[in-house]
Amino acid sequence: MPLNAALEGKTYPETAFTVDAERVARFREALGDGRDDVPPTFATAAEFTVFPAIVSDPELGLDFTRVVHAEQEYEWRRPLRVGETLTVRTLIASIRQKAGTGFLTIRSELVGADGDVAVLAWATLIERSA
Amino acid sequence: MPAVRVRFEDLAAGDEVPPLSRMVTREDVKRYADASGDHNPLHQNDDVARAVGFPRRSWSRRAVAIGRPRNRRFNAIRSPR
Repeated sequence: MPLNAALEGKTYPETAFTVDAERVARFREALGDGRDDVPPTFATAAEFTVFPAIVSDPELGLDFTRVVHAEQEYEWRRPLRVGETLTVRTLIASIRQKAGTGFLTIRSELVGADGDVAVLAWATLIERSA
Repeated sequence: MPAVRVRFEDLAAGDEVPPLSRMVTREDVKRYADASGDHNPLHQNDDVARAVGFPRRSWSRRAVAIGRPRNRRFNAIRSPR
């Protein structure tokens, strides 16, 4: 079953994501990063607050057992700060099907308390052909 | 190769980030998956990974996001296969 291309542009419920010091420390440890600021790719953890709702969306028709992460892109407007709470707004940016393989690009806005976007993230997942 | 410290404020379009080389262990894969919230069993369990056609659990590409800033925007680099 191909992905439901009609879902391009669909938005998902916002989530709140707090840049928790303990979690940042674990993330840095996993990366082997000895610095004391927030690693730029920690934005990933915020994205993952919404991904479960997307990949399990019955309208989308995604078979998660065939999914791999293909591409990742970030646009940082400013660094993330420990202790701040971000609002994560996510939508399906594009759905493509090529030779039985599905390409799903998810766009997430990480919005600070001031209402400005701190980070934009695009994640492209591939659904390999069965 | 040690990581090079790059400050957000010092980045400019066209800068190149030096390569970073690191041996990745299975424990690193699990630790990263846990810390990032990526609960895909592909990254956690070799049996699951094999069942869907990988030789072993796969390494999330996100963890090795290094690249070339262009307007403070990085393209993630593909992880080695």
